[in-house]
Amino acid sequence: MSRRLFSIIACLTVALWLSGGSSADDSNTTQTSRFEAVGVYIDPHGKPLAAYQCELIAEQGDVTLVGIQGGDHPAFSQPPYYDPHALLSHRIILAALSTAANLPAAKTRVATLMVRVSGTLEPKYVARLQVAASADAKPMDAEITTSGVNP
Amino acid sequence: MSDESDRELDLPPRLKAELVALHAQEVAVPPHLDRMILSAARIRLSRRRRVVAIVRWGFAAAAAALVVLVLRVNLVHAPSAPQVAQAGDINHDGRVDILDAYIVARGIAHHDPLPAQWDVNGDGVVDQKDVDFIANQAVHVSGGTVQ
Repeated sequence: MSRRLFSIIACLTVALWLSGGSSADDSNTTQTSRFEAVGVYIDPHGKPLAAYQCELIAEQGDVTLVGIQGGDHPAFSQPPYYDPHALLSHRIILAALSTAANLPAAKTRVATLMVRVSGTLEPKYVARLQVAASADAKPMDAEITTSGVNP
Repeated sequence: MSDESDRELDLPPRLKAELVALHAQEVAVPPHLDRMILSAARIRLSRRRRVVAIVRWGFAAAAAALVVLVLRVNLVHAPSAPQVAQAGDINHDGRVDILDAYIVARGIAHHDPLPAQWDVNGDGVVDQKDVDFIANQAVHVSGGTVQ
């Protein structure tokens, strides 16, 4: 009888220990999830930028897009156009235009992506400018870059 | 009226008798002649049927040719397939992107006379909604997966 009681107590102890261990793992996972802001910059090389369209892909890391903000320049301060379905994927297309007279001609942040990064793997983003246009509605050369932003 | 017909039929009895006797005689038609007449009638009737069929088929063929001609004319004068498929391709470069939306937005901002084709959402006016429509088309991510 005492032997059976001992084995029951032993099983309960092991079960309690295992459940405690898994909650510790959960807390570790929570600790590795963080929010980041990714800035999208376009350098139109001295020509006023009236419109842009770019594609961003998170090639590495467990990244979830949680929000999109506009840029620094008044012409692109509003959030760009994007497909809400992209929030569920690692790929997004951003686009914005401005008919304002005052347009950025130097490198400027056109959008900011708010992302949640899970896991320890550092995310890696690939940005590709699909089109940039000047005020005369003609495509023009420009350069796109991304970098971390302090929110 | 009946008096007149009675009078017409009121023939002399002798003439009447001779006429009745004339029609009472049976004319014997030889069987081969009878067959010839029947076969000639059949040939004639079948020819007529063939002519009617030819006329009917002729009308049907003419109607079909007319339909084909009308369709062909419509297809030649209709807008080409890519234009229909990509309603937002304002600058006709073969794709819908933010540049197309910008062209429409600039036209609205400058109060330019705007082509009716720019009414891509089909609400009867070219306005900011058309700009948004084109821009949303441009950023559409199909399937939501990494490509």
